Amino acid sequence: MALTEDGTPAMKDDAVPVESNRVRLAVLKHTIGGRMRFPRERRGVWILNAALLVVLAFEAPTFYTAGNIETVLGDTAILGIVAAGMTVLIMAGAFDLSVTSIMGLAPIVAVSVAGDGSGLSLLLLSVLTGVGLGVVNGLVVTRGRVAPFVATLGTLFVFGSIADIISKGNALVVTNPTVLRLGTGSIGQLVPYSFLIMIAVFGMCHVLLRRLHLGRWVRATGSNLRAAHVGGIDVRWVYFALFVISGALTGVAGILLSGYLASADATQAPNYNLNAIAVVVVGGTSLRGGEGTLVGTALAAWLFAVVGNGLVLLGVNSYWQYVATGIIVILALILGKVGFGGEIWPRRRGISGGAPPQSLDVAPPAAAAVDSAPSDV
Amino acid sequence: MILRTSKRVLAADSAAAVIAAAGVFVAFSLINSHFLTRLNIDGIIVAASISAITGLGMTLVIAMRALDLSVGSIMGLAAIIAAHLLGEGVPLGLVIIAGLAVGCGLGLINGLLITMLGLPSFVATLATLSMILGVELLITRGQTISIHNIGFNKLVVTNIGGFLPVAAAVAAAVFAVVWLIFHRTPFGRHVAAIGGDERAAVGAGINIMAVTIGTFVLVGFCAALSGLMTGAQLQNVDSTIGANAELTAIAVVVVGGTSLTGGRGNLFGTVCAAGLLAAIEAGLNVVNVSSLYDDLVFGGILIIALMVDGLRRGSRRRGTLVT
Repeated sequence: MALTEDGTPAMKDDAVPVESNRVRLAVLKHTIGGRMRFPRERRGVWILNAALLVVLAFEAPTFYTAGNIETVLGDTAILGIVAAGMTVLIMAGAFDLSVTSIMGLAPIVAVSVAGDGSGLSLLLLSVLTGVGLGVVNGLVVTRGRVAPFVATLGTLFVFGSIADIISKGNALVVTNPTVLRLGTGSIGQLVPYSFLIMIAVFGMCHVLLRRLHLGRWVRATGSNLRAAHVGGIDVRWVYFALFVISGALTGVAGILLSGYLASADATQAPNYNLNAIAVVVVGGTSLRGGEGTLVGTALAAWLFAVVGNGLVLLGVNSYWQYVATGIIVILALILGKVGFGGEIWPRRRGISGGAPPQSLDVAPPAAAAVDSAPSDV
Repeated sequence: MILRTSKRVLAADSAAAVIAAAGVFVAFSLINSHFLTRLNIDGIIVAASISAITGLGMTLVIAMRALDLSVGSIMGLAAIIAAHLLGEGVPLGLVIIAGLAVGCGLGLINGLLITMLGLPSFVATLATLSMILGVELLITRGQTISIHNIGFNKLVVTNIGGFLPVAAAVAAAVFAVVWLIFHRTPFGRHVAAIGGDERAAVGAGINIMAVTIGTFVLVGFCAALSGLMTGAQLQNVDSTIGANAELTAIAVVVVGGTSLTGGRGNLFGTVCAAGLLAAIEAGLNVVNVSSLYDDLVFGGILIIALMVDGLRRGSRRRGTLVT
């Protein structure tokens, strides 16, 4: 899109030299990718979604009953809310591994402080606890100068332990009707309240990324931390804000999950940290940071929910769900790489085909480019 | 002399782990004399050995600037397959070989996914983490498998010469081998080179594919060994063995002074950090604090160690923000 909007003279005057067929092709691909909003990164999640929905239409038509769609949307919502915050964080080049513990701790604090109170106070307390824990994460990362991955790994242990200590290792019963309704209720037996909250969350994150300065700073920080810093962006503030936002969203997800389960448990959200990252990655956001897609994340959260639900409907042993999840992660990434501009089994172009180097300690993805074997160097 | 030595210890990457481990040991022995009983110390050594072995493999992976999230699942699957085979009456030696082979095979799969398909190691091993867990559950059907083989248990907890648990000897052997591989072979230097600067490593003609696969096979082997030892120690095996062990292993490596930026690995620090974690768990148990506090203390040490480290480096280089 950038190409055409820039109004490159070559294109406007139609004075393209003969040898630039490659340029035309590139522009064409770009328009197809950009205009139709079907970019390579998101291709995997679209194809897998479509394939699953078709298969389910033939093999398990009960999938398309209103009651079942309601279940799937409800499953999408809670993971989706966490993944929305994670998408923004990953775009800035950070991770939050502590979401698992925040999802347990926030509702536990809310229930133990205001268990008999109004639904609103429970909700607010959970969100505020999430904000507070996000502040802790943000301070450790920005003031303590600890890389986000390991900082939140530490707080994962700490918050989880505090949740255990407060709840004495037991599940606290949630009796508040408002919270229960938020977790399980729906409009017209089709659209769960939690799903509406998820839509709102994605809307807010979209505004944050595309309409606020913060969004531009997020992408700048994620693509090159040092350049962003030199360019005058307060990188610390960006990270701090994002951890607080992620904490708040996780607090929301936590109280919704407690409402759904009718209990608040320190371990009620096992592996939500890694699952949320998987959702973000399957949706097409790069772990390298700097770019990302909220639509992809939402589609991926829906995809994970469909897989879980579909396997049950197909009468498959529920343990296969773990295997299927792994396969989907791999397939989605591979599908995003084959074809147009893809890089799977690339001709060895030396390093130029590899990933850009990573500028900070945010950990893992550098091994992404490990495939560029040196045969051609 | 003493001053110089202590300065060197303080400056080393593993300083946090060494100091914290020593501090925890001294504190707990002062608080409660039961901490230094044979039984307790043996327990600490076995637990530390098990988590150190996985941590040693993980140190190499992190030195290569990759991550392996599937180690927890590999631990579980190796233990489950061993328990299953023992139940079928397969001889112990073959069972152990099979368990280790499973670990190597899974490591190979990880390595191939990363190199052939070009997936980031984080994502590839996240996928295999889930898939292997699924296989575990399919084998056990969510049940617990009991191991009725005394020899298997003895292999881990017997004291050599009435002094040192076998587990410690195994861990020491693994430490020696991994240390030699990392510090004394071209392979080890290549691992560090890839972690330090991958483009430069490519430019230098390092076979990145082979080194990556080799490292992941090694960590798979280490994880399987830990899993077998866990199974042998507990005698009851189910799919929760190794649950979240990947994050604990990463934490152990990081507390041990290995940075996630890659290029360097601190094997000795990893062992100390494993000892620290085991000492915290056993110590809190001895002084009658609920095990719910284990993670609080360990996570707190992790954060404080890194913050001190960050501030120390920050005072040297004010320019960088989040390292």
